[in-house]
Amino acid sequence: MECIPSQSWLQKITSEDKVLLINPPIQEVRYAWIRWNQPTDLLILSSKLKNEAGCKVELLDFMLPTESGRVPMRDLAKAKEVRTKNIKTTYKARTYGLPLEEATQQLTSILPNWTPTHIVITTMTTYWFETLRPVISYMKTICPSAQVSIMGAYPVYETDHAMRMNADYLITDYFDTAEYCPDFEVYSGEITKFLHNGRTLLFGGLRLSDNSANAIEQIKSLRRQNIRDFVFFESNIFREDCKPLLEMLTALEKEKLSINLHGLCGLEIRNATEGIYTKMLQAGYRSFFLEYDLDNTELNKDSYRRAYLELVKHNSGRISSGNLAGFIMIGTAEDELERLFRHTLNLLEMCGSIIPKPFTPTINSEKYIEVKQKHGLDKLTPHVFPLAVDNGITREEYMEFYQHTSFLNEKRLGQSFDFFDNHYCSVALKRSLGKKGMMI
Amino acid sequence: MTISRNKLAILINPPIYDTQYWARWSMPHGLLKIATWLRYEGYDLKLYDCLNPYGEGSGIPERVADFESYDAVRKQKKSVVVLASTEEREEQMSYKLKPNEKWKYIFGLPPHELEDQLTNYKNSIARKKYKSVEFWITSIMTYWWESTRDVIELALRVFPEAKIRLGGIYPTLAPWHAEKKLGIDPLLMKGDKLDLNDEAQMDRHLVIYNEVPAASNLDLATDLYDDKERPPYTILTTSRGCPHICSYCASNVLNDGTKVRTRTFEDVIAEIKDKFRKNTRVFCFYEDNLLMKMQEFKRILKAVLADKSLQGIKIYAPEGIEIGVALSDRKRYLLKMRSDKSILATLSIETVEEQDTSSAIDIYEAFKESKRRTKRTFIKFEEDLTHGAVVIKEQTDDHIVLVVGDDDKVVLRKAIKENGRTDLIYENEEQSSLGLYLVGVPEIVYLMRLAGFEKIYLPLETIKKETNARWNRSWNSNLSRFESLLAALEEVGFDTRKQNINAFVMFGLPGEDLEEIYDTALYASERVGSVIPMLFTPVPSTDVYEQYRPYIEEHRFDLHHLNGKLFPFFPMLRDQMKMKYPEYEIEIADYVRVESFMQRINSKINGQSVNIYADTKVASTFRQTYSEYESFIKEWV
Repeated sequence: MECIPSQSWLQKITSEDKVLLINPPIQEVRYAWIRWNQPTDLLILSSKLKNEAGCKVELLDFMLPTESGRVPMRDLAKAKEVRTKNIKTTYKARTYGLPLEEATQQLTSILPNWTPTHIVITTMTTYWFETLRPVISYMKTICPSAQVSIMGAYPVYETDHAMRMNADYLITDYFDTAEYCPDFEVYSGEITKFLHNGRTLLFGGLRLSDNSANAIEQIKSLRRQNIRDFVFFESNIFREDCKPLLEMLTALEKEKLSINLHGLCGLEIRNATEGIYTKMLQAGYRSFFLEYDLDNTELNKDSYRRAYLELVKHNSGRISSGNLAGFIMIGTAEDELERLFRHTLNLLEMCGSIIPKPFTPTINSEKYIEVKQKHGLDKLTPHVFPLAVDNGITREEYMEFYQHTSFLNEKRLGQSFDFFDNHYCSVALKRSLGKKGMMI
Repeated sequence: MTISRNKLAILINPPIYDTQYWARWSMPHGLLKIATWLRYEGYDLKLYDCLNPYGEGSGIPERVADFESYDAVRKQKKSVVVLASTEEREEQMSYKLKPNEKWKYIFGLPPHELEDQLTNYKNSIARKKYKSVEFWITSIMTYWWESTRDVIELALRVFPEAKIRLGGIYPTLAPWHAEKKLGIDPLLMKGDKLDLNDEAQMDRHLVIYNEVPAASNLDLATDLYDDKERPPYTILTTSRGCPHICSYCASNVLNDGTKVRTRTFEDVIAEIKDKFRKNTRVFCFYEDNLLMKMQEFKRILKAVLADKSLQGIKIYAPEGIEIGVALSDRKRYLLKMRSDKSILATLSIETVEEQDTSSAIDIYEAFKESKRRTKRTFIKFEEDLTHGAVVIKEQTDDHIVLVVGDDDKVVLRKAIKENGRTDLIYENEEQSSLGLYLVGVPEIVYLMRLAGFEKIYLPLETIKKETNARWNRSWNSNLSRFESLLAALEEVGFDTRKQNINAFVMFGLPGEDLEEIYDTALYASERVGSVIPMLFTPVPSTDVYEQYRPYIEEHRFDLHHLNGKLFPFFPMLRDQMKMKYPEYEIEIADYVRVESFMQRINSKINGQSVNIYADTKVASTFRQTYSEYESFIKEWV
């Protein structure tokens, strides 16, 4: 086993090599929006490998959704247990992704024609490592001559931990991929397609690159494959005063491409400039999921007002129910139930939908290290609320909070329930709820 | 038995026109019994169950293994109905509804497809040259009568010489309507007068009301379904009738009175075993009042439990059980472990009368003698569910001493309560090292759980006493009894937050207040976790219907306008509410919202339903925050 920087690893790859990229299955307590997962880092690495090493690249994406957007899921016998201050909570754990046996069966049948020399497994986070060991064992059994490498957040930040996974190489930093775009074509290759039983992409996950022309070319290419839905996977799509986004939207408008854009992540609304939402709507944005924006501990009224005016009040087209939502971060050290509910109601009133987003500490922060030492690396998944109990809210209470938000969010015939108007049915509900004891 | 020859009966369960439809348990069991009877009478049979969710044409895209997944059939938009009115019109599919409108759909096989299938069938049987063709059509809800009319029309278009026999709930409750509105000139007749050999009858179209006694206790002819399309469940009817006369319920009309009749035990068990052997695992009791013949029902359950060949059976009773009757059953005492709620053993108190040794005397004397006769009550150890960890150490008629897990001694003693009933008490509970406790539950709920009942349905209707009194349901109005039964259900293992227990909540009635509906729905949600809204429909032939007849006539409502989902009483409700709350404009959209609120309140996460009325910190914080909430966007609007 060797820990190796990305550049040195890359030098080992030659044009003779055959590289199999793997997006592994995941063990988790929950996995929301699974249809929108895509291994962008692997797709970009594919571009880089093809361009710089000239090697052959194929992909085994365990998480590739079916046409209906589903990914296989199995309950695990082993549950996740977290204990804080002597309160034990047990979570049902599941494995998401194509079953290993099924995937290896497909892989085994192509080995006579195509045997990988390198296998690269990516990791999205530091705490999704539990499936790596079985995946690597399987790969080493069926492709004994291949060198297995792990890339991504796990070997970069948890190198020591990753040494236990029996890989040949741990890539200890990120590849320089600034110049590259995701290689969506890889899904159309004969071997990759066979590995996925003929399934292919449902949407294009893009980056807001400096050169919007590249992204436009990619969109055009995916449109030819009948892919209509696109997402920009960025931590902040409004960065640099929205310049990259505006360039992209202008280019899209010029091309008159008929596409659906989905604002699923990175809508950091405090950086949104005047008129940007209107532009997004014009360019084909169908959904807007607004990141949680606080001014100290309260919602940042300015940023939410801008979003509300452009997306609701002045938008005659109306966004369909459920496609305008506000994230609310839960599970932080500062959580207070009253404030969480108030913000939930605020966002519900404004957007019609809310999405609780469980919090986990930033990698290598003080809290991250504390949780890792106290509970173990796998308990850093936000879905077990690593900071619960210590912040005065138990894990069971977070579950109950989830149930409440689910009730508030529920759509019937495509409509949310209006809890906020002054109709008698809202007033009567308030009265009826008021008959039961309030905060205890 | 006279065997008629060369007769064909085409049996049809028509599609329906409605705004919503839940297809679970839609099997036309009355029609399938009639089919068995007609087969005995020498008819050839053909079935069209237009509402079968398991049918090829049901619209279910893929075969799913889970029985519970089948609760829908295909639907297509038919028209737009304006709520609380007689207005209905066709619209483009893309039409956007106004707040006071709903889409009316055709659920199930659409009439034009049924007509095509009948035409093909007619061609396929041309060689058989049937002497007569009869359409036996069932019609369930009175407000679904329109599709019955359409099916009759198309049936006669394809087979002009055929005769119609219409039966079911609709013609029984509204024969006067069925006689005039179906486009035929039928002979109206009671089921017990039906004679298949009476040519004068058979030459006419027939509208048959009430039951056909000859078919009442027959098996369901489920073999008429193709193998691939046969529903994996069956409907069991072991009794008919209900002794109560609730002002909104038509049970006594449907059953020709309030007498409760039961099928024989042997007959029911034979049916269960036969169906189970033929691979049916799910059994659904459809009864007017399931528990009214408690002993017979318990005997059936005990037989199911004792029969190892019936292992894996799932039983449902979606019509609900009567709370007071369930509670009146004798107690089964459960010895339980507090830590995991597991049941270790069960006991009961048995009563036996001493032998009758008196010589022949008249009835009155015999009665007096029976009163004099002494009764012996004793503790009966029913079951050890631990396979040996519970041992009887000592037993008399008055007490029993058990040893659990070698060293936990349990002393249970008979005690006479103030009401004279005998109870069993756990004398040394506080000394239990294992944390054991004893709880008495109505034996019936224990047996139901053991026998494989998946869900329990309780008729809560409303928690408001006055409303119950108005419906002649005062016997149901004691909430403490509802609570007692819930506690017993929880003790035997039904989980209130996993939608194992469901409460019917009624609304849309004249005189009600939206707040009262919320009160009931929130109470039900808190206590049982699953609320089933029942929108009030005045049923023809009931007191309530008669009471509101002037209103119904004034608004020119036909039966299909009285469908509760269309809120027929909204104008009356609005006027009543306006008097009470002049400051508010009451709109029909408010009622549509309350209806959707009831569905929302059943939201589940990880198999657990929400409880916004709970006493927990989260629920009470939510209530407080919501009740004090001030608009976030009011300055921007």
